Amino acid sequence: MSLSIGSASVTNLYSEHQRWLKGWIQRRVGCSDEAADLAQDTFIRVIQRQRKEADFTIGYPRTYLRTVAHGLLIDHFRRRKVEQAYLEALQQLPHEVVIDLQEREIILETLQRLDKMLDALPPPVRETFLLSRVDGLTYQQIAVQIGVSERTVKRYMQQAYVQCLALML
Amino acid sequence: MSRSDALTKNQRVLLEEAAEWLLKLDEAPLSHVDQENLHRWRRQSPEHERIWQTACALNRDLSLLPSGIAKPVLQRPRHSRRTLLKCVVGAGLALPIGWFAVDKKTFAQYRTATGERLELTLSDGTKMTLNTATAIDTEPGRQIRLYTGEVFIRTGTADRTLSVITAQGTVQAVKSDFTVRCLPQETRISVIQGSVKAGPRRLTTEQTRWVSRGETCDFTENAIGLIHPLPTNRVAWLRDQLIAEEMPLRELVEELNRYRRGIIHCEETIGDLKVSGVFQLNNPDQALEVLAQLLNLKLTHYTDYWVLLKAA
Repeated sequence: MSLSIGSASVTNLYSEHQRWLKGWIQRRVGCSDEAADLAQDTFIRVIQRQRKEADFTIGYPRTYLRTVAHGLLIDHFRRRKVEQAYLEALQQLPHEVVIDLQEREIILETLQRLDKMLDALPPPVRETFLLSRVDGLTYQQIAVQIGVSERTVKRYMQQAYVQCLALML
Repeated sequence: MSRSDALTKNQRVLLEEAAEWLLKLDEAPLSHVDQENLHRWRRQSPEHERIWQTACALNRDLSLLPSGIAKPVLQRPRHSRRTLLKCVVGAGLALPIGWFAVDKKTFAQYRTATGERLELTLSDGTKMTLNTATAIDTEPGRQIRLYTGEVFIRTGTADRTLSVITAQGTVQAVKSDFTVRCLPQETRISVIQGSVKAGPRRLTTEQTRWVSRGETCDFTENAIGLIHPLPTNRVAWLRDQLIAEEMPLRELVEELNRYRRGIIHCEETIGDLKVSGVFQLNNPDQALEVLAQLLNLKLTHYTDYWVLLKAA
């Protein structure tokens, strides 16, 4: 079965598969509202892609929807993880003030973006990058700490920067 | 899902070059020669500049987060994507009742570094220019919170009041052009068009005062200072200029310090020398050299950051 996606058939796709997709997502996130949002986002992605590519066709609608939804779920879970770690970090801080919701959103978004980029890095490169940019160690200090030469530290940093920038372009 | 394979060969080369610059910046502040080289590199093509802006965005993201938060979050143990999926399924999230935080300006929505300037247009048409080392947040109801630095605001034509909140109080404006600056214990207002209302935090509404076009005043949290005519050079920074008219050297150096990373110090004995001239704020080091020549002073660089001006 092959489905060519025009605006009319997105409506078809939606009416035929929305309930199923929401159910599939709900079994994974546990919450009906979240599942409905994520299903919605999945269809939005499909429409966006169809707008970009004129001859966009889908072979197996459900397989396709599941793949797109899976990507969104990964981001969704990452967000939760990051949020959880963020809240724990906040509680460890010495003093209390107020962060308004908007600030919180900005911080969380930034954390999520960085977290996603860091995932793409090989572990030693990631560790080096964090020691440098979060802990503020010099390359020389990092070399001592992880037991490699300073040249290797530089090579790791170079790789980390190139990969992060590539993901941001 | 790396996108690096979708890059063109040219982009890849540029990314590697940009990364080289970032490595250099990590190791030490750029020398003057390197700063020039970097500028030249950026000017080579729009793609060079775009990639550099991306690098700046990465640096901004990294410096936006205080390490107290970034460290535990980003350095937490990582799992493969599959385990990530498994272990979070069904995990609820409890929001703590109290919020805990850090210096607000670190998290401000819009910030400029020393020597930077930023122009913004808000959705209601309000135009803003953030001067050097400034941090602001925009809040619902046309409120702007100024944490530090200086901002120029052109409110646009809407009839609704726009408020700027500082540590000392609130400045309210309708259809006006004005600047608000944070001084150590005071807020300074300078009005270019229209008029604005100065409202120190501890005064009642009846005690607020209007400051009109061509006027300036400073207020603390419980008093409004005298209203003076606006010196013409007050908003020259919008054109990247510092205009001195018979300005004591001490004050001029203090102004230049706002725009330059590091410390410029002038010897006590020459602090009262009067200076007149126009200096470019986008190149404070050059301004310093011009200044030294003008007054026949000696300029000593202890480091790139620390400069001493003394009698020759």
